[in-house]
Amino acid sequence: MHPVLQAAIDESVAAFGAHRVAYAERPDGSVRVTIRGAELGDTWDPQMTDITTTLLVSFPTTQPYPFYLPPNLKRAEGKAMPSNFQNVVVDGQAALQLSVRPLGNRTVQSFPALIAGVASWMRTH
Amino acid sequence: MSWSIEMTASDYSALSSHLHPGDHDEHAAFCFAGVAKGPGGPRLVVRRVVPVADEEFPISHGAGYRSIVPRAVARAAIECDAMGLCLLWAHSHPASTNRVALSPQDLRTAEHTFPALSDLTHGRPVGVLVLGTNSAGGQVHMGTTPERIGRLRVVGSPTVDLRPEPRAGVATDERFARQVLLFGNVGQRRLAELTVAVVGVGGGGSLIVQILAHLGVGHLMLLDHDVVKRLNLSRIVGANASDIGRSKVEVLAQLARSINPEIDVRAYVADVTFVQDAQLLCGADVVFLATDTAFARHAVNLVCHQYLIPFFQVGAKVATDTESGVVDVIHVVDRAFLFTAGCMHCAGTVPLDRLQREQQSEEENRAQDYLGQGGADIEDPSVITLNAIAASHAATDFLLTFTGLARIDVPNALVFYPLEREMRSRKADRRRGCPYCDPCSDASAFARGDTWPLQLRPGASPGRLEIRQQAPPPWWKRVFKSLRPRRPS
Repeated sequence: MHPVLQAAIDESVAAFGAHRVAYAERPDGSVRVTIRGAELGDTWDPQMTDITTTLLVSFPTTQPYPFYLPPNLKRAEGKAMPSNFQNVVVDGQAALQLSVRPLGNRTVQSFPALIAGVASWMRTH
Repeated sequence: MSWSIEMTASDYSALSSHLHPGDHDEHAAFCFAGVAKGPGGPRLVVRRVVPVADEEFPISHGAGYRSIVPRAVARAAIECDAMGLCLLWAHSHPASTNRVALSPQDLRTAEHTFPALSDLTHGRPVGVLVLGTNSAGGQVHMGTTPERIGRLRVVGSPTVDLRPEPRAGVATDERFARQVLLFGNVGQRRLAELTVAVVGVGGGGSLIVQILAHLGVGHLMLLDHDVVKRLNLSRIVGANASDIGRSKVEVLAQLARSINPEIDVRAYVADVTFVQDAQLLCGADVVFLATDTAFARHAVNLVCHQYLIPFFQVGAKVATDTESGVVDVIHVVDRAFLFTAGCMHCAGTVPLDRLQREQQSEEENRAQDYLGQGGADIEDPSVITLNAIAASHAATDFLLTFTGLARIDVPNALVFYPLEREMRSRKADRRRGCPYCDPCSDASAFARGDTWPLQLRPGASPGRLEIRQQAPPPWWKRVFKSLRPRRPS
């Protein structure tokens, strides 16, 4: 794994704890990362979820986008899902795709901050 | 084989003004450099120049004239090692003009101190560079045997080579007689010695190859992973209907050899977004980037900044209104990247959405196809006349830069708008913290060479292939020379 991508993983481990970070390098050099147990608050069911995304080899120039969540995630109290959620199949598995850039289009300096931004966006939407 | 030291014009300016302030005394500096061991010979690419204060370069009470105090040497070695770079000690011989050499005392100092410095920098090469006012020489130590520094290349506008001694004059082939009137035999020899890589030999790249072969560039390296298709025949020079299905690089290598049978052409079916393919560029003195994929642009931008290889981007863009199909803007661009300004990312010329899409799977792109385009890019118009303008501008910038004719800093971009008949130049500032071109950023790949892994797809592209053409038999050159028209006396 390239040191820049490894540094993003190491930073995530430092921020969230090793037990909450799962990752796998893909043949093209990108890394699929899952942060487990992100807290979403009581407007979501379940209130904690896994957030998966990809660090492309051009990271951090290309910021991780979009984000994949478990397909069973839904709004609490039967509310409609925001329009930037979409059911997709990725790597042969059903997932809920969240298309959001919580930090805008600027270059991401901290991968954990981006994940925290996604969770924060979900808590407020 | 001798070593080449390469640095940007701004670093050389800082180094030279510190070493030659006009007091006719010796001064010293350190250079922190990445190392590159490409097929073109070993190189040290300077990332940072650290002047040594005069009080830390006092008159020596032992042998020799001046020496750097041990604490300054240790400080530089530790700082350099922390950056994973090689240490180069530079000093001036102010009485030397166009001929310079290490003194016997310099050689003794190098012999005694370099094993320790090499240990302090984890066995990386260590060097001593000596600068006359118009010359440069020295040694690089790797292991036990010192190797000669044969050239200091100052990359800028113009790009200048300083050598330990002046080179003997050469006669030039008659075919170049008229252009030699512009830039002289020295300029023509410079072209003959250069290895120029062309990434993408489609519409723009094929014109570049044709121009370079006519100019007398000695060595070409062509990289493209595509084959000639019928829709390319309107704009790839050298290609005709019988070439459909052949690799573009093979067709263009043939064209270059037909123009100049003595040219050395290496043709690679290759994709520079893969590490091993991109590393081919390390054997080039200069790169032309003539591809329209964002990932290839990103890769060339990265490699050229990491290895300090000057490059020129050529392109023509026709923007149409998506609703009406009416042509909005036509512009033709030549961008010179000589490390005097920002990189392609700083200039915003690598569309990040396309860079992302080109790295994702079709499945992922379909899932993000919000506009219902099927996840595919819309094909842009492409016309040979526009490509020809861009190729001509870029080749002219290249010529001025490498034959020493350039008088001003080449602007980052020269943009021609044919509909408005307007020419504009643009310069992109270097973005602070840029991971490619900011030498002050710890996270930047700038001038790190092999000391930092290339951040691209691992390995080689699946279809990578070097297309070799048999060298002409010995009689072939004799026949060619006998057929060459002679100038009447």
